[in-house]
Amino acid sequence: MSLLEVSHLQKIYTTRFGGNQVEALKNVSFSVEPGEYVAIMGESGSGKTTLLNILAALDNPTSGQVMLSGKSICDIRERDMAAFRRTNLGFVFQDFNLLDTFSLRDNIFLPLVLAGQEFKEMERTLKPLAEKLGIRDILDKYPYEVSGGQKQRCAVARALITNPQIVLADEPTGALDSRASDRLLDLFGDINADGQTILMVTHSVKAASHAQRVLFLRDGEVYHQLYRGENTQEQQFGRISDTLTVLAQGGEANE
Amino acid sequence: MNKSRFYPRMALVNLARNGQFYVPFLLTVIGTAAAYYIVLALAATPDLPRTTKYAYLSAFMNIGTVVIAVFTVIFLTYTNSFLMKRRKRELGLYNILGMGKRHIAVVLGFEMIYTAAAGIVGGVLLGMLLQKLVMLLLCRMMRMDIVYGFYISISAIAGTAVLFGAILLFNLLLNLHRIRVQNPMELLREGSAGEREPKTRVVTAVIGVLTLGAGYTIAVTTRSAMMALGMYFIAVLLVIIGTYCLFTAVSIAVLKALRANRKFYYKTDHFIGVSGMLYRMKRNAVGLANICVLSTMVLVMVSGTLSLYMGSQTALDEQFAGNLRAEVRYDPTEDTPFDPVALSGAVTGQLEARAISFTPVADYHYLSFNVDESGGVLAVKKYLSGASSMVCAMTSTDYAAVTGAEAPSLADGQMLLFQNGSGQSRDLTFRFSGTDDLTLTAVEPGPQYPVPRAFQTSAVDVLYAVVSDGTLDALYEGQRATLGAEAAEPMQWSGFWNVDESAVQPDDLEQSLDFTGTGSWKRLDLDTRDSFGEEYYSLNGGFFFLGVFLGIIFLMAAVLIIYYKQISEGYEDRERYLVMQKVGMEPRTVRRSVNAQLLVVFFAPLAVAAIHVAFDFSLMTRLLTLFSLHNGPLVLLCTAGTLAAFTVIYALVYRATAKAYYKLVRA
Repeated sequence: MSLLEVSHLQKIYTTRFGGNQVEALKNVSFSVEPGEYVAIMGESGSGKTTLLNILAALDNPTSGQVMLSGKSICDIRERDMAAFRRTNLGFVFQDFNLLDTFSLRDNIFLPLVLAGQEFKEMERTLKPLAEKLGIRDILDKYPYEVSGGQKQRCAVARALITNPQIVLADEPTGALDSRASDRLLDLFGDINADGQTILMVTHSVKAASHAQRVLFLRDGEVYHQLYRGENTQEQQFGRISDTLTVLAQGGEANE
Repeated sequence: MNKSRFYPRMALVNLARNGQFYVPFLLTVIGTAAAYYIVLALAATPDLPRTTKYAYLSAFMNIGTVVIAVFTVIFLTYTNSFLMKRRKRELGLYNILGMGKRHIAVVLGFEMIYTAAAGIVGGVLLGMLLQKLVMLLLCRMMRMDIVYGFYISISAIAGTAVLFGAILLFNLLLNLHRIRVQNPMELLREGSAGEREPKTRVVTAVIGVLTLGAGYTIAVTTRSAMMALGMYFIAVLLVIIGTYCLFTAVSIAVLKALRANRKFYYKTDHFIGVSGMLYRMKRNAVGLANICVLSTMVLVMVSGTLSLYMGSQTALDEQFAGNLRAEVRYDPTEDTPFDPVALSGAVTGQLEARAISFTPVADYHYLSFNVDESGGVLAVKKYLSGASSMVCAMTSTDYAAVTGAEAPSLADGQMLLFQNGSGQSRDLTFRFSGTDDLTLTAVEPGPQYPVPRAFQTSAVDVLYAVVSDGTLDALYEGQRATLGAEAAEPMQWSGFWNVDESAVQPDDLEQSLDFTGTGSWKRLDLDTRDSFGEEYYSLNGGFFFLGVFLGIIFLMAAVLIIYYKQISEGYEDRERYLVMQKVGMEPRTVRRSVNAQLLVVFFAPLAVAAIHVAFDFSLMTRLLTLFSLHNGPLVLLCTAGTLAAFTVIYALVYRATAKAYYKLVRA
């Protein structure tokens, strides 16, 4: 069974005065297997953000369904939603979304504290994770005291600490320099190798080339998909670039 | 575009765009300017009769002018610096977009000119409009019979323009200095600089605890009113310092201690609450302390002057057993001693001659002098010092006449002692020069010996002693020997009658008295309760007016600070709100937590102010005895009433400003 199944997702936005209707997602269907690392690519306006918002249960689709482990997330009651999101989904954002008022350690603990865990237990969970992400020494610092890369690694720790079924990453490298980006992407690879399912929305060819599979979104539809297979990351980079070129020229992909 | 018209226009646009901040600022300028114009105009009221109560009016208004001027300087400067902080980013952007600092200065200059013009003109106009109303109110409170028509005081307009012009110019210079010392990148970054974790300032926290403790201790332990007068400003100063330290350092120290307690801290509500409060306190500590100090001032001023005003009648009744009073000071050792019966006869004879009906109420004599107590011995002193108390002695016959109780039979050397409104059973030893110590043994007090109304606690700690005729003479002789014939305290006699007050002019009556056969005495005062009360009311009414007037201005200031606080918090909290929801916090929880924090932050100053007032209460009660107010329950009632009314206003302000906050957060 697939971990995540998205079927015939449609999202229509109505402008404020009810005049124009904008179809952000037309008909999106795909599935993600447990342990997969999937990147979703597309230009601005292709519906990436809308899709991610629906997957994150932050927004409701007009029609269609999203199933996580066989359970429809659209049927979850509003008041259980936050808890569901907390326990099943991990988020990594472009702009980190770390709270200035907490130390990095407390930022990472936030979802656990919300879930009512004991401090000792939280510490135990954090220790190996901090080790793996290389943030052990900065845990007592505050977000404004560390670099963007370090912030993003802490945000990743916050996403992983609840042991979620799937990590949703929204342009995770968008605010990072190239070295920090590389390091983060390597980390994503490692995490994925440990069995963590990752779904990443990105602009960056380089980021997408790390994933096992790339979905291309255009005008609200899944237009194409590309498996990395046995290709090296560099080869995959080339294939994605080619696909994007074709996409930009408005032609049909030839694969 | 014409360059000379560009900057004035830009200044206008800036003011309009920052209306959320500038409109309240402008209103404050208008409000304070109006208040200042009114007190100036009233102080300079033309053609006032030359009597004491109108002199009071000028005196009160002059106090008002000074207080408002000082307050305005501080408050407008504070508000202006807040405004500039909010605008740093905007000004930095101008700089980067190519406006020189000189051009920015020109724009700021125009902005200030507009503000000054609108503020001063608006203020003076509003002042003129309200002047008549205030005058009517004042006349009522001070019980004045002449009400003046409308007049425009040129000197008051000039005074207002000069003061506010100077304050705003001063602030403009401050702003220009701020611009000069900052580089544009810094200006631009200012708004988005990461929030630093507040430091624990141990020294400040310790100072806060100490000063607050000391201030409170003074307030609770001060026993005499003279002492209270001396210590009041010290106590106030200590408490103000303590308040600032409390909000800036003690609060943060406490919150950090809470955070260090992991068991407590890592619980959903505490986790969000404590960390949120830490930053809120850091940003708002000074503002909150300001609100607290202002609120305390309003509460103390209004409740104190209200008590005075409300207590005027009681205080009068206390002093006037009947509505006509004759007071005589005399030296009983003169060759032809003062004869109270003859003096009473002179007064009543004159009343009869004028066909005014009267009923005698009471008459008694008493002796009062000051003593310093040390080593269980009372040494006579001419002047009161902080530690002094006063001895007031009367004979048992007079005591019986005053209270209507049976005259206690007291041998020489015995006394009935009252202190702080209740009977005492300790002995007193007096030390006089030239004679042996005189020890008076207290008779056991009991229900058969009621406390006379006149024996209330007073400005100083008073020992009321009821003694035999012989002992009263001995006390008189003793203090006279100690102080010398010149400085000796006189014996005093008071006689009371009830008359038709409207028919009696005390001054006129006194002029026509025939003093033959009354013996020798030093001074006679003849008053009716109304004539005396008039002065009383013009004094207490003036105080009350000033208390309320200044109270309103301080309240206005507190409201403005509260408003600014809500607005700036609204901008800052918006982002935090969103992030928390994204990482899996329920919107409901977020809202609940933020609400709770807002409430704590908002009502903390009020709570602390209420505690201040509670501690101040005993000090104020004692101070008020200086103004012949001995009515503890009344003061309590007035204080509680003022606090209740203030809380209601405060809550209303909270609701109104919270709307502005939520509008920002939800946007």
